[in-house]
Amino acid sequence: MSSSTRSAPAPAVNDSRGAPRLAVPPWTLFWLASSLVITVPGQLPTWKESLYDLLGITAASSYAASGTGVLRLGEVVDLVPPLLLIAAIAAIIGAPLRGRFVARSYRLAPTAKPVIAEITDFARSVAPGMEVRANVLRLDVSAFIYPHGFRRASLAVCGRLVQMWRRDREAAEAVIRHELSHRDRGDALLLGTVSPLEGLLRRWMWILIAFIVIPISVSWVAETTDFFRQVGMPGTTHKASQFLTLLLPGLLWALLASTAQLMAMITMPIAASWSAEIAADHHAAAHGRSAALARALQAPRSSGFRHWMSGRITHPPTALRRALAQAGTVPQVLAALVIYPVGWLVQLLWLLIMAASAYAGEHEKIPTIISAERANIATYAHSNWSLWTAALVVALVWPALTPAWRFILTR
Amino acid sequence: MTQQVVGMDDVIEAWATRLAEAVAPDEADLAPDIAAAYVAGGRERAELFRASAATPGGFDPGAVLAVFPFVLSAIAASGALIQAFLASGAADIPGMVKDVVDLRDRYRRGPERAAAKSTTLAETVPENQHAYQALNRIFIAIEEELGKAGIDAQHRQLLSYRIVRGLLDDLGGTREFLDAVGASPGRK
Repeated sequence: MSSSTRSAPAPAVNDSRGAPRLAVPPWTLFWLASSLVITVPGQLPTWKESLYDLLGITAASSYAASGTGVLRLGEVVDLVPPLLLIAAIAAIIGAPLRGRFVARSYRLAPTAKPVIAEITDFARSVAPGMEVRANVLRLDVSAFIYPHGFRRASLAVCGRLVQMWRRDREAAEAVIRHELSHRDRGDALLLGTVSPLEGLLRRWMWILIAFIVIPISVSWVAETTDFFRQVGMPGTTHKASQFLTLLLPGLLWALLASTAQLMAMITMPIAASWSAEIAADHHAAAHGRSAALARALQAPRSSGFRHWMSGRITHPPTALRRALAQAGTVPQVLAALVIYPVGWLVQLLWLLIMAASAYAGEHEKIPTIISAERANIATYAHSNWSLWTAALVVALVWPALTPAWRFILTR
Repeated sequence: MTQQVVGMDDVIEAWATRLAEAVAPDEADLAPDIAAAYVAGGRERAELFRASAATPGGFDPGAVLAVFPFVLSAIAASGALIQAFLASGAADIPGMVKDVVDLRDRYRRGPERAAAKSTTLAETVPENQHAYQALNRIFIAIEEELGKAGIDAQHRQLLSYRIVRGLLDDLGGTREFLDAVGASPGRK
């Protein structure tokens, strides 16, 4: 049997008939579209200024003091939102190229092995015409969906799925259904393997270290050195003890403010990615298959919180997904639906932390900070109301648009 | 692609499948390809042990959960001991493997019972004592190698019994595999 047959015209997913209708909008695409239409026009001058500062085209006065030139690197953090948008656009435009690159880097190929034929038959019973490629020697990977065109995606099957297929067929089927759901929702266009957007999001810790921790620390060391040089010099009022009351807190507040700023910037695309994953879990768990999904999520060797933070932040924690799978499909679909709007609350929280840290670094008093934060909340609400209205409209009309959306993506 | 690049000897392919059926039945479908890649060495072999923090898909912990590549590694690492044992002709001694497996099974339950059984084995068939010790060294070497792969103590004991049994059940395949691995690059 040829597993590389091109996708034939496919009807709606066969086994979704009678299932609770999946009405979770593809929030990743909403994030991209709304950012391009609503956010970009307002933010463009700020980003331009940050870019000029980074490149040294403008001489920012804040970089005049000794050792503070390195802080220019911090401008990269201000440029994270446009970088994310560029990465997202590149993911979509480069979808056909990504397919070829993924197939080559994961050494995926049509395979005539009987077990792959069984898996292919199952995948095609769920998504008729689905192209399946395999590399059974990748034993650390089970399966994933990847685009090889704007409206075409393939299922990659690797050794771990074959192992699961023999050990626990239902769990393996849940994995395949999850991956196929990403194709039906269009998630594979923006996210997934070799997606520049996902790659950038997963590397948030590198951004944090390279453009926040290192520049701020270097600048702080220079400032501290200057400070201690001046202690005791004629005409100065510096005391060494001020290191603990002024300089050290200053470093901590600066680090916290910049970290919170970065987290605020990546919150919404990550919330959208989490929504996509939980929506795909919901699809995999429909028709009473929650237990199978929960088993699929049961990793015998968990790689831990640090691994998740550094490489898997675009996926919700496995414990959360397992809990949702065990709770049933209704909590799952609700979680997938609201996790993106909840992202705005999380983003607001990060922005408030950022502002509070900046105020604290300026030695503002607590009542002043509280008052300023109230104003910040009002400003945030005012600047986002159009975005929230758009999200509400999309959430309400999405059930009606789902069949057309699926048709566009899978025909 | 991988499955076509590797020239797989039928003997090793059949040996790998039988061994996987005995050692890790879930991986029997993968065994011929895994063995072929292992024998090929280099990049093919390295791919078997690859564990990336940024694996695609939503279900992978970024670790290799299959044991068969580590089984092959353990066999290859114990190759000299196994070859010496096979060359001694002891593998043909009737009941040898069963006795050793019995003995090690008793050892798991308590060293005293194992010691008693060991004495009995040596007294009953003293000419087998040398062969028994050689086989025991193979067990220990395989268990150590499996331990290096992070397999827990209880699991690796069980695996090592099954591996040794599998190796001795198909002497021709075992010899072929060890010869092939000895000649291949990138030994892990």
